[in-house]
Amino acid sequence: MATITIKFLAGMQTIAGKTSVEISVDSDSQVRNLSDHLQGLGFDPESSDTIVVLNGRGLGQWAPDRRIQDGDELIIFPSISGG
Amino acid sequence: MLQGGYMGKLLRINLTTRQHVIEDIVAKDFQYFLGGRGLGALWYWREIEPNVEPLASQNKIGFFTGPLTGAPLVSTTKFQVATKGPETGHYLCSNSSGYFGPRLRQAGFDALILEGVCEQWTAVVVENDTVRFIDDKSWQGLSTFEARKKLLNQLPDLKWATLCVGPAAENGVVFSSIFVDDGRAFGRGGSGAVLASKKVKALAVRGDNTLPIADAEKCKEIDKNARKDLKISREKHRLLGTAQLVEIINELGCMPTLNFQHSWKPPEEVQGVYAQTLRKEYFERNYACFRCSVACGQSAKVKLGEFAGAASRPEYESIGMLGPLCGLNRMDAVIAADEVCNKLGMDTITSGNLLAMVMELFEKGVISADENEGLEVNFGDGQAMLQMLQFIAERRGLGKIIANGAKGIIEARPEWKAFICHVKGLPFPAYDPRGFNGMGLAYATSARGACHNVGGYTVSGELLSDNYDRYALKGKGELVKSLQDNRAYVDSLGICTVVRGAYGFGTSPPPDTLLAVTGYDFAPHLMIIGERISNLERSILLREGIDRKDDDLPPRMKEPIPDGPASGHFISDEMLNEMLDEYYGLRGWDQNGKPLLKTLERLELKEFIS
Repeated sequence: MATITIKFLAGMQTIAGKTSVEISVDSDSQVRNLSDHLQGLGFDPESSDTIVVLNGRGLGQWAPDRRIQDGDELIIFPSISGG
Repeated sequence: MLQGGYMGKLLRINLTTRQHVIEDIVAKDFQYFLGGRGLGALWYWREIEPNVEPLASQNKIGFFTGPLTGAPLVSTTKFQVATKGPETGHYLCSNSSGYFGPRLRQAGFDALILEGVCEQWTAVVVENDTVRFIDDKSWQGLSTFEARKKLLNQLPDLKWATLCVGPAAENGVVFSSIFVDDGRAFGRGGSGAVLASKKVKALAVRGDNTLPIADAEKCKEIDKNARKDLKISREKHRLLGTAQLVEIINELGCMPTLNFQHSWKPPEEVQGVYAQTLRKEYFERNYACFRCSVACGQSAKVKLGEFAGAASRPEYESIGMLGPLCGLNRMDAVIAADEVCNKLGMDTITSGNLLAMVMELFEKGVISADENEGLEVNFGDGQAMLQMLQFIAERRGLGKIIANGAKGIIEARPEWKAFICHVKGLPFPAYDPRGFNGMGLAYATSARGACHNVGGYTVSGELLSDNYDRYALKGKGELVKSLQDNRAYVDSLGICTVVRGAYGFGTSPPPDTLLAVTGYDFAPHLMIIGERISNLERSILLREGIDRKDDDLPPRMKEPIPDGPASGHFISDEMLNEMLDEYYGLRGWDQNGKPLLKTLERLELKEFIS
């Protein structure tokens, strides 16, 4: 098993009801499986209103077959600009 | 062919002679440049000579609406200003929300030009096709809010919209803003100083005309659908506003901190300026612009403590630049500083940058309180910050130098160059480009100097692209070009960028909205119009002596970020050049950043600028 952290930023905390969560995934889990975990938490990573970042880079910028590693960090936040 | 969307008229007021004329705008100018920023750039090319000094009487200032400004659709609030800007010394475009653009259209005009100089301080009142002046020495010294109140007190109780400048503009502070109504602004570049150089303290406008609309029934349907579509955006923006970006950008390691010496601090240090803090402790109500259902503005007030009574509507950029950039992680102090900037009429982005520069100079022992009327300004000192803002507006102490902006500072004190992050004289917004290389290219090539709007907001694209990541170089030229051209046409439409998605105004816009408003199918041409505007603005800059040498980033960007998620990243000259080469190539510009003849011909621009 690998333990990863998912941080909910800004408006996403309202939806999640918390600032972060740690989840355990199978040791053979890959980047392509993360969408299922996020959907299980009520988030659609494919939505244009949502941006998901894994270890500082966009989730879609990682190879889908990259193995999930212990300590990986996901951050999820609303697509927003301006000010 | 154009059946609606335009009044077809320009109001030109000569402040010296007190005469005004109403001129026709030819349909071809609308077809090729749309309105707003595009029309402003075309007017600038035609009327502002390259050697005109920004604060000289020969400079002019123009306000331009787009075909959607004031149209019966959601968030049709935007309008643009064009002038030679004192902060950079070259072409300035700036946009604002508020009611002034829609009211100008009701007065019967797509554009308003001010030229010449008044003999004494005045307010200009435009009501339909009449123009009058309220001369009064006591305009001088009023804050932006006081000027608006005084002006409205002298007008009949009707639906007026106003523009006002503050004491900073009167004193020629080169980054002074024009305040629109009671809460929006042409923030960047110093348009306030241009207005004040003409001794115009304020303007008011109203009218009884109706904007012609080609298909009013279709507009109702589009408006209904857009409002439905905006429900998600409304929820997203209403609760926490753009202030949400503080947490996001800090987590991404790109939050300008302590004058760009850092780009991140642990969340427990920064959370004092998070959107959640703003909402929980200071929020009073949402603020909406003309016909807007999103109401993203967050009116906030400090109730307790040393800054009690301070009130403002802080947006992300103001929080970032007056907050973490200045080592200030207290929302009460940020609200107070934001309010002082608004009252004095100064751009919060430049103000934050130059305050942070002063703080770092104190930190490093480069300057002392002796040079600043005894006032020491250290990182994190909110009270000193408020006093320093006052010094700048009054040109006291170090404010005498700071008021002249980045270019003026470097001219007077070249040894301070390393402490200012700017491009072409315009200081950076609240994204450290070392963590998003595309932002570096956007800042370097933006037509008005370092800007995340005109230059292109690349952050989302650099996280969502399948082809490159935020630290890549290849692909950023294409991204920035596309964002800039997209933004150029959106800035010419007259709608707010927060809602543009509801109308589909991206890179492949649908025809319905502009067809319903104007009767002309602009959609297939919009990105080309955007590209034409980008090339026209570049041609203006070249005429004013700006070229590749100026598409540069400051020395600090070449140093690695010391800590945080983007630790170790930098943008060297070689990296920037690689991005510039790709960008110039895609634009059809030569190695010096000049549009090739075939590019001007392809864009049918040559006939307008020959």
